[in-house]
Amino acid sequence: MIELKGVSYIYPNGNKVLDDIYIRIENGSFTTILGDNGSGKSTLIRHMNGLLKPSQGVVSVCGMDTASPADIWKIRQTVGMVFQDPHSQAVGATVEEDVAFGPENLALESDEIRLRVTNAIANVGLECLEDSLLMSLSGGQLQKTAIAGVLAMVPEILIFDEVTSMLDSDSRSQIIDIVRQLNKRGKTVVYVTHHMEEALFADRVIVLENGYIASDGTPWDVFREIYASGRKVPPHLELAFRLQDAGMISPDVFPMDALSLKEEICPSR
Amino acid sequence: MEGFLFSYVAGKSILHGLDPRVKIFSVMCLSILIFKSSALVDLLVFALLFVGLTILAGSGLSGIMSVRPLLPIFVFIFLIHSFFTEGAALFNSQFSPTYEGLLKGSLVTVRFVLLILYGSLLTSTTRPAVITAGIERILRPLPLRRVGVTSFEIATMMSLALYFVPHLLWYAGQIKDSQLSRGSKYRRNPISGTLSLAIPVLKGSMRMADDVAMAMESRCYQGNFRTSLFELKMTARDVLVCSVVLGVTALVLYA
Ligand SMILES: Nc1ncnc2c1ncn2[C@@H]1O[C@H](COP(=O)(O)OP(=O)(O)OP(=O)(O)O)[C@@H](O)[C@H]1O
Ligand SMILES: [Mg+2]
Repeated sequence: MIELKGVSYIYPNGNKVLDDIYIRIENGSFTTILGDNGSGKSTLIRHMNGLLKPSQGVVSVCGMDTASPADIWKIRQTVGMVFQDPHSQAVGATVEEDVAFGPENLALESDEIRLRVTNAIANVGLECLEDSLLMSLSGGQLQKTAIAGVLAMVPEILIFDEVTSMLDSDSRSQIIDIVRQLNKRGKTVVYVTHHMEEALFADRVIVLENGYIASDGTPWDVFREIYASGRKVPPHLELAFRLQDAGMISPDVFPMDALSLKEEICPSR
Repeated sequence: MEGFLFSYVAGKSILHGLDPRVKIFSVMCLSILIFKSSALVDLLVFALLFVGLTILAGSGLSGIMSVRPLLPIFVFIFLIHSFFTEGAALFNSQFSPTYEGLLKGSLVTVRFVLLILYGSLLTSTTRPAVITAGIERILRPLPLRRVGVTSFEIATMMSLALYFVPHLLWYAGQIKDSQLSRGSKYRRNPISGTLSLAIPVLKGSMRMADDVAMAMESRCYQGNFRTSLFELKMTARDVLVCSVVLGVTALVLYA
């Protein structure tokens, strides 16, 4: 569980980016943080594993305060973080070396490291590339390697910071599948994105605007709110909301994609 | 990635199985011996030894061929010595190689080629990560802390460079391509061309370095102590090879 209480953050240059944020991330949940470029998403989540310390307020991870140097080690093991640029989080020459980096830092025995590396690589489906040079991989494969590298630390909570934004649409959906699988298997997920479509699967969506929380709720609530305020939502949702407003489909329907909306309107026999 | 300079070629030979420390130590001893030999005949022995070891490594010619990109450098070293060594001129012209130059040039070049070849034999039979682990273990007893680093930090730096350097080259290529496609005039003015490439590459590499540092920090990196996926264990065979190499080196140097 991650808890932010009254968190504000001011960059050293005086840039106030977060303003009095309260968030509580429950175990096992899937939370998407949605926001435009520069809204403070990265700044926010970097508080969740102690990369940044709040200027004001408290951040705690499973009861440990990120401001306490004694706990930072345990916090980083508990909260794994995957970043946006697949090319600038590689720390080894080959896939297995890169994945081994975390467990090596935990000073584990080499047999245990091997076991964790094999498991983590299997979890992202890169078994056949274990020995490949990172230089020879695609962006999507690199990003899977980065996820495996974090999984090898066996964290309870996983944070993804716009991990798909530099990938093509195929790799994007593969990565999203991996993330959803991990959540189904019990990992707590915080998923940062500026693509609304990627927020649909979440249990909860938090919309960040200029460093404050503009809305927070289930995807249905949040997208309804965004739609009601006249801003763009994914096209199939806009259609669904319009049909609901016109009384053509039930008001509790929240279709994940165009196909499920079509099923709602005319079920296939 | 075959044909890459100093690339690793997977295999199960005796050379592959040796402890990296033994291999690094042996290459160091061989380098000293090669530098000490002042006759081409002596160097022939090292060349034959190299051929023998290459056959033993079973990596075929790919290890040797990987040094091909260095060929111009070899030629350059040879020519410089041939032309600029004092001695009897070969041709009756103002600018001519000398007999002494040819001799010295071949000696220096063959030495250099042999050093590179033995280096490539080390890297073609040892994974980069294992070499780094070996170097780390060799450095560990040194009092590096006094100069403010640890053996682990040095090893991590090396393995980071293994990805970072080729990636940076690739990145520079990308920027150059995008500048060319936007009509930049490299050909006409090489100086401003280089500058307009260097600045974005420098900026990009600083950003990347920041990002990598953050990724490492989130994965619990601290330079004080870490273990390795590739555990190093000295076996009886390693000790044997080490003693033989040490013995032979001592014999040649002091006898
Ligand atoms: N190191 C820094 N120093 C000063 N200001 C910064 C720093 N990093 C980010 N900012 C500013 O903080 C604001 C929020 O940045 P942040 O990276 O958290 O946004 P984001 O929502 O992650 O954006 P993006 O979608 O581009 O990743 C931006 O206005 C940015 O310019
Ligand atoms: Mg960001």
